[in-house]
Amino acid sequence: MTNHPSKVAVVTPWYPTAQHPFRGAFVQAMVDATGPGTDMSVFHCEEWGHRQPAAPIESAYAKLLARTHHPLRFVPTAGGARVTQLPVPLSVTPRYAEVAKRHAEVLGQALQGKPMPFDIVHAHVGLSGGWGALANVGPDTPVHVTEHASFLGKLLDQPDAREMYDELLHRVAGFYAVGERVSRPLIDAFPHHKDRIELITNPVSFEYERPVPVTELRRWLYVGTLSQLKGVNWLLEAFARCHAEDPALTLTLVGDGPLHAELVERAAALGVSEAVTFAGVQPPDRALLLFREHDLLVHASRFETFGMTIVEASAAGLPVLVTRCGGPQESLAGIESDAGEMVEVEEGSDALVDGYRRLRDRFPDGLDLARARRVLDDRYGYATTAREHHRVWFGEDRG
Amino acid sequence: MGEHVVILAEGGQRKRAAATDAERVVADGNEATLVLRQRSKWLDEPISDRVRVVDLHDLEKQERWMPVEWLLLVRVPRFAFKVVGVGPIKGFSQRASSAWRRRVANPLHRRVFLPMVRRRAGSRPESLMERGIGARTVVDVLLITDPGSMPTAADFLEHHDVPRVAYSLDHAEATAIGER
Repeated sequence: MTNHPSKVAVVTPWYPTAQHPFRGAFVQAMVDATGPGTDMSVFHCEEWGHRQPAAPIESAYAKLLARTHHPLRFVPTAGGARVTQLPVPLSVTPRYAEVAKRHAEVLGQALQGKPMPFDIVHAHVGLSGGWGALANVGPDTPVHVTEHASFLGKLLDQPDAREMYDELLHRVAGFYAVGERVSRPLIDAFPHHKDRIELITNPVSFEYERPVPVTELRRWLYVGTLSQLKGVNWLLEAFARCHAEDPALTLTLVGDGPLHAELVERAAALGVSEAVTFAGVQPPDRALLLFREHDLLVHASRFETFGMTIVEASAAGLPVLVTRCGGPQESLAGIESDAGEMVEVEEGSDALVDGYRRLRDRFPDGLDLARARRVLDDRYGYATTAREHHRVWFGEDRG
Repeated sequence: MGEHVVILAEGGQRKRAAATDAERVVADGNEATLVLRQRSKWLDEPISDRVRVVDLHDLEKQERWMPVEWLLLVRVPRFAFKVVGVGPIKGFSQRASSAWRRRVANPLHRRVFLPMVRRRAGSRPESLMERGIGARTVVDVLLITDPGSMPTAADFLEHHDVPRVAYSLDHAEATAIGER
């Protein structure tokens, strides 16, 4: 790959940490894919919400920033890039405009009021990373924004946030949505920006592949938040019904969330405690290893803008049983039956149980996991992502 | 023992990050002191036995004024409600006693007594933290893991020379571009 001398800054509210090992894994993957060949610095502007009086915290943080960020300090991260952790302490608020302004303020404090010294700035999440970046660049620095947020509906209902988003779309050099579920509400809200909103997908690493192919669909795996939005309650119900037919089935739930205690209780009530493992939150590299130790990824989410875990599982050679919750229809378009089985989103376990039975009946000959993997690599692999980003940043295909 | 890493988690808003970093510090053969407030609120986040815990709430309770406050705000009113609340008004008196505790004693403690005592030099959180850690103990790294810890951290750093300050263990070795 040709070396780009350009200094690129990535501004993001989401990046994996010990507190949230999965949050922003897709931004880290983007850095991993696009960093090589550039001089890339990541600003991880992580929101640290609190319900305490704001003034003492903000005044103390201003003093601390002088100690920790003047000058800016970094550690190495993916893709040969460097990252600085820049917490954004803020009073918990439902007002997206306030959150965006706080991001801009903290980034400005870290930069000591000077413009970001970079040739290109690529921000993630419009009204946090994007707004913060726009407020802190010089007039000649292009700002690109990738939007991933699943909360755009709520944001656009707030007049001040909507106005700021409109301004953001006017000012950015490029704007990218990670899927149609993200771009659609924006195009509906800002039809005059329709032509500025492009699609650019999250990258997925295809470096890792199961050394031994799946031979039977017995060890189920779920990776994500244990919440109703992710449909984990229905996943457990479906598992219990399938387990009654085949007691050799097991289920591993990786992650944590508000439903944890309820799920533990429900597993006991359903008589499947022995077969269900609550593995807790795992670092991303461990989660990848879990693909090796399981036979089927089950994802029963109600809504996904992309659904990275599903593509990662397919990339690792694991069949998937997923709901038609938005992102997966796009990511698996044309290879649904090669990759696994898709079922409708419903408030119940019937669709998942029926989907599992259909999948089990046509496994392995009715699937083509190798083809699914090839197609996905072409769509979401690092090479594709790097090429797309370098095209919009540098105006040519140097990938 | 290698370095001494103090993990300040007074606000308790990011317990997992604090506990994980503390565990990593001791796993690497270094010494970890986790400074928190009210360990009873950490039951959902296991802390390794090898991590030394300093509970600012416990230290605050040892202050001389605490028994007096406890007597005035809790024990005397409770006794009074008990004496008055006999016979048919017993239930009412018990409810009134809990409401007093919830609506008067606790807010007064939080909003009046605590701020008052924290103004005293020896009772400020950074002084309690210093006492808990040991005034002469060397701190090699200070990790500020949540927003509620920031005021204490800033005050502590005004009086202590700590070579490295960061917001997580992963960033404790951060360097400026061109440094080293």
